[in-house]
Amino acid sequence: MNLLTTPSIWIFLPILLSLLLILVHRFHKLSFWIACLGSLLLAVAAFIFPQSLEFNLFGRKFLFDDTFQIFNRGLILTGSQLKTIAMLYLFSFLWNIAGLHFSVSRWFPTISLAITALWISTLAVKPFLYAAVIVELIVLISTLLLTPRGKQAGSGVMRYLVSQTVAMPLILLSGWMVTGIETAPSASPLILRGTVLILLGFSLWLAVFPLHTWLPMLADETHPWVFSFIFLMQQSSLWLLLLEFLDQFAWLRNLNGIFSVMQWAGVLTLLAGGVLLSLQTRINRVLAYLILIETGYSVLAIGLINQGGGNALALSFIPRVLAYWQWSYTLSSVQQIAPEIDGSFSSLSGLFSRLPFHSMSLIISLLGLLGLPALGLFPAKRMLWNSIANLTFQYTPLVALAVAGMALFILRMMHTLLTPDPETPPPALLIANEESLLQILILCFFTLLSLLMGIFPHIFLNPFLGLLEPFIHLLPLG
Amino acid sequence: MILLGIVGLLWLPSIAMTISQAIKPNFARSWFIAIAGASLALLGAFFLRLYLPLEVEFIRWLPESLYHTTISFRIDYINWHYMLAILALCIAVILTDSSRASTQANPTTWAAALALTGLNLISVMSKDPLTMAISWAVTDVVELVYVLTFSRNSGSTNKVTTIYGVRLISTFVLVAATAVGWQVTAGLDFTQIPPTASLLFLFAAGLRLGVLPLNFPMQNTLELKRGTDLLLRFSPVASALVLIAHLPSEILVLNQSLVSIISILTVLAALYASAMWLTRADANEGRPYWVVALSAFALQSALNGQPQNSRVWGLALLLTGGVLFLFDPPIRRIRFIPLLGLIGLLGFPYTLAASGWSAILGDPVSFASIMMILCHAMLVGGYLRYILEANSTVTGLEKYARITYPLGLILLVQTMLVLNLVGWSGVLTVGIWWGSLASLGLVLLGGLLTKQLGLRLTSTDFKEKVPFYRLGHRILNVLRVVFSLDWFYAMARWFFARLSNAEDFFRQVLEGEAGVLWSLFFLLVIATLIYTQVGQP
Repeated sequence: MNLLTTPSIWIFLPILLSLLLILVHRFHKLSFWIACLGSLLLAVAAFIFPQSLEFNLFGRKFLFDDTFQIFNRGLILTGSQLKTIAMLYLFSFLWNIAGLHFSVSRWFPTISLAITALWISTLAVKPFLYAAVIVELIVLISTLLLTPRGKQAGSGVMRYLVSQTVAMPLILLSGWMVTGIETAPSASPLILRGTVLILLGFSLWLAVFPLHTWLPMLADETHPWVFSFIFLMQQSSLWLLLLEFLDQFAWLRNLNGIFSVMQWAGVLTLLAGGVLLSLQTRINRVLAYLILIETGYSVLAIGLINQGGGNALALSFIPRVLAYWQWSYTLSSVQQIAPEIDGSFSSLSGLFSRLPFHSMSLIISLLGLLGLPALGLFPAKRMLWNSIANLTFQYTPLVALAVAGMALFILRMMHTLLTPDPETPPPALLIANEESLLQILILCFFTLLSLLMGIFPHIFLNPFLGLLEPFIHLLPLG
Repeated sequence: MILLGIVGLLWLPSIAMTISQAIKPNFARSWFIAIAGASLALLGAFFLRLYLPLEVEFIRWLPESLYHTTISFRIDYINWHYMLAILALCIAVILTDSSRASTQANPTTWAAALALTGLNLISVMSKDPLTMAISWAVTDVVELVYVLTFSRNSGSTNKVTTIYGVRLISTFVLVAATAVGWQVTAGLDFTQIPPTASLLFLFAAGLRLGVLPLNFPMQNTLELKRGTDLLLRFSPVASALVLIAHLPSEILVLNQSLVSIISILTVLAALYASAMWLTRADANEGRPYWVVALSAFALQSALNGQPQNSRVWGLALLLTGGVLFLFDPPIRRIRFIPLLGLIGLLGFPYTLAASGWSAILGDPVSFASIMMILCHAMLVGGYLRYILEANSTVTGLEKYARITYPLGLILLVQTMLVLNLVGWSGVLTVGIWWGSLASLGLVLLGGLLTKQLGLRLTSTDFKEKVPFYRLGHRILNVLRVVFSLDWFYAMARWFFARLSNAEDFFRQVLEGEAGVLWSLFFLLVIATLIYTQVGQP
């Protein structure tokens, strides 16, 4: 067995490390720092690793194999996938480095590292349909974080488990159903059934409207830091997996109207997210609707893959992550500083006078996700808006309504944060300097980073266009 | 790079002042740094007149085929004078601020004034709509932070959300207009705006200016009245006026009835705002109406197919308005200085505003033209009223303030005179001379009537003396209620409450025991709808 393979480094090594972390999980800080360092090293290694998987060190030539055979199945991580790997470990690093400050589960470092490795294995496993089984494994492991020790699993967790478990056989069945029918005409009933199964499976996985109900329920029950990590990883990896399906199944991508259906699914999800967000009164649920909106944008981008949607999808990964990070960090920090905030909107009244930097950070992260010019997500969203404006008039009012809904929510939120609650004491009577200098610096840094990405996307975001490189059939020129 | 150098001349002193104040506070040194930086920038901008048009590409998003975007700036005969006006206003603010005991003049506010002016210049110099959208977004967020920092302890943040909301919408309308424009020319700049997108651009500017639909995008709280805050309030206005001036003159080739409706709304906004301006207790109370009325003039110019001439009214808004609003304390002895400011508004032949008459009156002269003359008369009347009612005699003014205070006001008047000579080719024109004559005639008539009837707004028998007072008052009140948009907000709240109830019901259904089945049912409904509407995949 050749151990000098890319899967050994980016799948088995982190899994091994997470197993070791089980031993030290009681040492909260130590395990967080090990997970941070491990993730960072793996991310940097993936970023600087040559695409040819060959390099010289101390006069010796090392050639890494991209395949690892296990149970007669292959785990293949090619050089073109290294950017994706770097990105996922970067997410793990970002969530672990700040997770130390929040009262999340002790198992967070251990499980986060394992989850990251498993998500990478979903992108590496061949035949790729087996990814469905690994996704199910990830879901089962995630529930450990979603249901903190000593607490009963809520209805959101149960529904999450149900929907993700139902998705798995749908994906597996589709593969079984259409085996060997690549040459069949696209109108073949088997192909249509296979397509429906795949789309339904991914809709359940990605929480596409109207199969999204578990998402806000779960968000309400879970710590925002844990929730954001799990679903960020899930969504980012599943979008790439969906691209993999479209890339590998010629019958799927050549099916007449498939991209049109995805466009509609994206627009409707986006619309549902925007409208539901505008009416939201629970702060913990907000992230769920933000994820729903971003899912809508991403499905729309995949639907517009022939109109440049792929680029928009690739450009949106990092700014979206930073916006999620900023939102969930700020919210977790607010809940840590002010435990009396019960998650209702009214409990946030006048927060600006008490935590001005946190309040501004909440607003700016939302503005970033809205696609405000000058912030990180603008270049990608502008591409999508321009594409749909060029394509058809049908989507424009729906997308505009979704954007308006989100803008309305931001203004409501701003109004709540700025308007003092008449029952709370005036600011002078509240505890001064509740925001530490470190927190202020972190929040300012992420705002600045978002600004830099929005103004210099060609510097900060272009490297991530490489995420599309593995999909040579779907995007022949990419 | 000279354009960016001018912005640097504002931002570097701003940073220097902030640092020097933190290390070793010194009022005089900070004042000097601020004045020196702003004056150098003004001089630099003035010399740019010799090299117009001038372009600089700041950032090019590569690959070109992916983004079609450059962040670039351009100074030409459309925006150069706005640049000069903003810089003059900045210096005037710093000069007059130090002599005002009622406001907290301090180096921090001057540093903010310089920084905000720099940001504002970026917006004004934008070569294309996307650069402008980015600069609008940044300016709005900076302004929001500034306002919140400034007024967080005063409890005067009620209108902040509404104002920011309007700005946010205008930014997104600008982005939408750009998307429409890109369908014709990818990566278009202001010289390539197609007529099909021009109404959206006009709407973006109108929204920001508070004209379309009528809203008053300015705070008028006690602490946000003069000095730096005047810059803060005029910032979004200046860049929106530049956008109007960039619009193509073929706007009328679009849907005629739509243009007519917008024109009617604009005239109504101008009428209402100028009537309100005339009847306020003092100039500061009337400031939002001044902005809206003259912005409506600029919009009407664009609707009449002369967007470039809208600059005349834009400059009147900034410079003439600047003189009046900075005339605080209103010292009786020097009230001739703000009176000189009328040069920029009256529109006499061979004055700055002369070329603006043809733009607002249109061709042929219509009922709207007459209304615009009436609006102009009310603006001039109000302006005169606020100056003539100034009767303050200030004692104990610092020695330096006796020079700097009038100097600040004179600088603005001088800027008007300079622009009157070298602003753009054809600035020295007769224009429609009878327009200004008619307006002035109306003002004199109004003045005579007021004197004859012995009217004073503050007197107790005012109501009895004014003919048809009750009718006029009632009409104005109705208009105020309509234009305050309170009814709209109430309706929106009602609708929002109903929608919330519906959402709550659906949430309970979807998140209840049978939620998964309901989700599948909705999925089937949607799939069927798409299947029947779009067709089989």
